[in-house]
Order: sequence, then C-alpha cells, then structure tokens
Amino acid sequence: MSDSATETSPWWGGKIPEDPAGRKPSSEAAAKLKQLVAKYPNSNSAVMPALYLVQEELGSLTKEGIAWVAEQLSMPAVQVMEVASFYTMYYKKPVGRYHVQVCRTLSCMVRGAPELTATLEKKFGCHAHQVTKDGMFSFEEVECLGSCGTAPMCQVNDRFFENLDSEKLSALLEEIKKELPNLSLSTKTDKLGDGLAHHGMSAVSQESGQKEP
Amino acid sequence: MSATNNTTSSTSAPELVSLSIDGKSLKVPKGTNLIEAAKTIGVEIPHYCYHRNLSIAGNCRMCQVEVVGAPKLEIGCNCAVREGMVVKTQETSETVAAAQAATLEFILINHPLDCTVCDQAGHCKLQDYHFEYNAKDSRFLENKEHKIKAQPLGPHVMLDGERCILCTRCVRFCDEITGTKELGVLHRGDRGVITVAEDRELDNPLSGTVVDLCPVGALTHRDWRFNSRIWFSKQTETICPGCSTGCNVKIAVRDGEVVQVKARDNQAVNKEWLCDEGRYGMGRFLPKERVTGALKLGSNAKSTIDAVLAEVAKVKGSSPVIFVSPFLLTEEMVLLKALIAKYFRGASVAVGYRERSLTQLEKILISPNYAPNIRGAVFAGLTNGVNTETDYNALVTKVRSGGASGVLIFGERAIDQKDLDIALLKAITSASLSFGVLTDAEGALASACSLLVGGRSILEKSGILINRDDIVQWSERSLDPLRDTEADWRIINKLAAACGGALTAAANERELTMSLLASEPRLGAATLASIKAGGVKLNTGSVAKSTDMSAGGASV
Repeated sequence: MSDSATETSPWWGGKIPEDPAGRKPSSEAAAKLKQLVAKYPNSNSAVMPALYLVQEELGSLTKEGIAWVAEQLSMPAVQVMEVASFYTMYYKKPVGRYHVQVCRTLSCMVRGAPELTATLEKKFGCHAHQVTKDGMFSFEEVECLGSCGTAPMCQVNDRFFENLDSEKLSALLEEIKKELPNLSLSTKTDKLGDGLAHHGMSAVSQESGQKEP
Repeated sequence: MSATNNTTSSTSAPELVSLSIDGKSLKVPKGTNLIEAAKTIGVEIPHYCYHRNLSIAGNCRMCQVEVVGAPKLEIGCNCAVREGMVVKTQETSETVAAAQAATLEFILINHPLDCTVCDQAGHCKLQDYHFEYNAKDSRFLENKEHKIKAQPLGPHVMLDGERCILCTRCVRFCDEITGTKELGVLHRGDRGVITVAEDRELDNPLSGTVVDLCPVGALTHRDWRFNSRIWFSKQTETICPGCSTGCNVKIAVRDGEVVQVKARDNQAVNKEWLCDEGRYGMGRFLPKERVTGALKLGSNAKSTIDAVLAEVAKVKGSSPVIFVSPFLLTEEMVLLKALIAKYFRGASVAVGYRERSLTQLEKILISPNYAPNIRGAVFAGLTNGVNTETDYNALVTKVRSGGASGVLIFGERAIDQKDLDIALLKAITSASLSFGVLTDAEGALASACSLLVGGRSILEKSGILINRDDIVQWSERSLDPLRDTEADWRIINKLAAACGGALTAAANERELTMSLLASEPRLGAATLASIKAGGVKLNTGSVAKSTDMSAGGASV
C-alpha cells in the first residue's frame, strides 16, 4: 500500500493554523467585503471572494481569517471551512511570497510537468507545500489551469508562465528573485495586475506568441 | 427550508395530478415528488440522501427513474409529479435498474466493507440495497481511500468516515431542524468527510437523531457501540415515555436490556426525530432493584397481594390522599378513576406533574414535563389538566404537614423526586396507612410506604397513551414483565374487589383495552388497529366536557 493510501487526512492536516501574530483582516478588507456582498442575492454567496480577500491580506487562510469571514457573512465557521477545504486555490498553510503552481494534468504532464516539479524541488530545497527558508518561494502541483495549448506551464501568484522547461523556469525564478514584481491580479485594484509589462518579464510568455490576457 | 416535500394533506383539498408509475395509474397531490408518489402504490424507489422532512440534496443518485419523454434519467426525489407523466422505476425499466446497480457499485468503491464489525449491519441500507439492486462483486481493484475512523463528534455520536456515503442527511438535520449547524463536509470528491465545527461538539438535544438518519454505519451511538447485533435483539414499536410528546420509537431489547432505541416516522408527532434524553434515558424506567410481590412493613415475611390490598380496603370510604403516576396507561387511569368514584369518594387526588423549563432547542421536540400520559389522566378525569400542578403541590404540602390520614400511591414517579424531602417521607411513614404500587425498591418512596405491591414499568405493559396534542397512541410492551410483579390495572381491580366488587371482568390487557374502546364515546371510531397505526386524534371538545363532570385534583 502506498503512502498516500494510508493517509487519513489531506496534506494540510484538515485544520487551518492560527496566525502566529494573531493578525486579523483589516477594516479596509471589511469595507471591500461589504461592497462585494452587495453584488450577490444573499451574503453567503460572497464567501469565495471573502476568502480571497483574507488570503490576499494575510498571505494564506488562517483560523482567525476563517472566523472573520464567518462573522462578516453571519454564517457558521464550519460552512466557511467547507468552501475553503473544497477548493485547492485557497492556501490552507502559509505560502511563500511567490507561490508557484505547476499544472500536472494530462497535457502538461506529457509535455514535462514532472521535470518542472523536480526543478523546483531542487532549486527550493523543499517539497510541495513547504516554504523556502527565506520565505520567498513555495510550490505545489495543481490540476488543469486551462492552458493546455501552451503546456507545460505554471502559475506564479496570479500570473501564467507558459511553454516552460527547466531552464526557462530557472531563469524565471532568478528574475523574480531579482525584480520582486507584483504578480497579483489584485482584487484590491480589480484590474489586471501591473506585473509583467512593467517588469519586463513577459518574455517567457511572448516567446510562444501568446498574448497577455 | 425544512419539510420541503412534506406531502401530508393540508386542510383544503389539494389539487390532484394523475400520472402512471410502472403502468399503474394514480392520483397524488400536486407538488408530490416521485418517491412519495410511488410509495402510495407500494413501489419503493431506493434512496439514501432523500428524507421527507429535510431539503432535497440529490447527491446519492440512487432514486433515478425513467420519465418517458425525458432525455435522461431523473432523480425521483427532486422530480415533482406532472399531469400525464409516465414513469418507469427499477421494476419495469432495465435502464433504471442498470443505473441503480452502477450507482451502488460506485458508492461502494471506497466503502470498507467492514460489515462484520459494524453496528449498522442488519439494518443498513447499503446492505439492503446491494442485496436487492446489485448483488455483484465490485470491480474496483485499486487502493481504497482511507479516512478518519472512530471519531467522536459529540457526547453521543461516533463517526466512521470510511463508511460514510456523504448523503449529508446529518448535516441538513443540524442545519434545518435544530438550526445548530455543527456539521459540515470537508474536502471534496472521494476525500470528502463529515466534520464537526472546530471548537464545537455535536451536542444539541436531538443529536442522536443523526444516527437514525444515517442510512449506513457511518454514525453510530457511542453508548451502544458493539453491544449487540441487531438481529439478536427483539424490536418493539412503541412510544417513548420520556415526556408527553409521545415520540414514536422502536426499542431493541436483548436479554432484558435496551440495546438500541430508534425513532419511528410519525408526521403528526415527532416526524422521525427523537431527543437524546428519551433515547439514551430508557434505562431510568427499569430500576436495578425492583419491588416484587407484596410487602408489609414490620413483618419480615413477604406478604401476599391479597393481604396487603385487604389492609388498604379497610380505609374505603375514608378520605385518603391519592397520588397517581403520569406513567400509568390510560386504561389503568380510567380504572383508577372508577375505583375512586366507587370506594374513595372523599379522597383527594393528584397526578404527579411538574412543569420543567426547556431551552429553545429542547422545545423543538420535548414537552415541558416528565409525564407521558398526563393527557390520559385528563381523559380519565383524574385531573382537569389546567391546575394539575397547583393541585399536586397543594396535596404534597398537605401531606408534608401531616394532614393526611392515608396515602395511596399508584405508580412510580407519582410524587416528583424533588419533592421527596425528609419531611414528606416522614409524614408518609407516620400516616395511618401508606400504600404504594411501585417498581423501584431503592427509591425513597418504597422505603417510606408501609404497604408495597410490586408494579410494572411502563416498558413492561401495553396500552394507550395520550400525548400532549391528544393523539391516542399505542405503547407496546418492549420488555417481558419481571416475575412476581403485577400489572397495575390488576392491582387496582383487585383492590376494588377487596373493597366490595371488581371493576372489570377483563382477563388480560387486550380485553381491558377492547372494553375501553367499546365503552368510551370520546374515542369515537378508533380501533386498536388505527391506534397502533400512527394514532387517533381525540375529540378535545368532549374531553373538556368530561372534566367538568369529574372535578379533578384536591377538590374531589
């Protein structure tokens, strides 16, 4: 029997850890959430963007963050947990400043996703869901990101990087480390992130003739 | 949100829709779903997640049926009847049968198949349906998903995540019925698992109900784990004697011990819910040390019932104080009323009744008393049902102050445990006559009475109970009576015989009930069969009238 078969809980242990500093989402986040709630027929529907708000402010979901969402939307915390645990896009453990998600579904898999994963493990010196010592990087394998035509690919924070191989990925990581770009499609600004173009980092994507969305 | 598909008829005649299921035509009220519609013609559409009193989840896919003209199979639970609809179930459609067999195989993929050590074995829907609708070996050769096992969710309920089929009945029960929302489903797909909210427990007053709702062995009773295979127990359909709600239950008994209690469906009374207090508290109706035979204080030797009753009969015509237990059956109460009317006209009578305060959650099901047959006492005319508690308190005070010449106690809990202080017990002991028909030999009352006859627990006798809404229900004997005890009605009748003449010629419980049914106009056309099948509503107007005639309580 393989290791995964004897595992009785998911990689994150089924429990979202408390924030070491006890931080809670800010009042700006609360104001932002209020606007979001108004877009839905009932407040519970805003649970997914609310979780993103928490994740954006605190870096990952925390116990306090879950409680905050539950309180803001007046729903039981267990129902917030249901949503948080269902979707892989929510970080149930702290991630690095730059979180790399390597697509491992069919197209990427056959085009060399395992190689990318191996590269990351070697480069970061840690396994999936672990954070590098300097807190800069973490990675995980995820299911299809919907970019099969440009496989293999990965997503760093909110941005796609396509047609990768080990060298390109290494170069990308070095560049990120140097430039420290903002790679979020921020819900704070509600517009496409100001990442790549400003930082001259679209080279990897553009090489394949792919346009930024 | 709850009871979305409650098809119980409303007061106005509902609009009927005609359709055909498996070639049989039927008419059902508009809005009925196909599972309920099929039930009316005796066709069972198998289902796990559907429950008539919970919202529709539609996640088990077991109730698929073929609706002629529809492109795909439909799920019966979420498909309302339409005029002219032609439906084929697994009985007539091979497609449906194949789909259900496939669904079962799918549901069983990660199931541990640990029936040999599972409490649910023998009353498990997975076993039943697999036997009936699939009965083939699984083709799944890969490793099964492993999940949490033997995880306590609260004080009463244990979770086995691997057996769970994620029907979410328990989650919906806590969301919609109790509103406590303790449960949820974490993760997804085959890794999904029921969980209790962090920092919380599944400890609402109805928590044990989720075990009844669980169609498989995922949720089990912590109190009753591994105590008996269900097929070794004798199961009796009866009424919970915990309070005057009169919840319909099924009690499983093995070797004289209650091994499990399940709720039964009665839409007019308890839906299919049951409180933890009633479910896990059945033991309190079975005292460890029983009063047996007849006892006379001061004489070391056991007395006989006749001798003891002859002693009691001596005070006939006097004005003793009589306490009646709300745990007596209606037949017994009617008989007792006749006894009082005939031989103890001057007696002061009270029914042991004490209101209790309930939390908002408890009020969902529990009645504010510990008196299962208090309405039976009203029916019998032992109290008027309005100042029952005041009358009772007045009598207790009277006895406590030494104002009673004789005290007669019929049934366990005729005096509330809280009232049994030293003063009251002393007063009972020093009364010129103190007689009790009791069950608990270790109880304070048993030690205070000078004359004792061993009566029977409410679990040991069959008869009529009338619940808080005046629904006449049948309480069936779930335990064999202890040797050397006597049914309370027989003791009452024998006492009457000792006083001058028996009240009934009935030879057994059944004859007693039949004679009550035949002679009591307020029961109308109720028959034993109709009372047993869900209960009969009493005409409350006539009950009120009867209480006028028999001024209850201390004023007699």
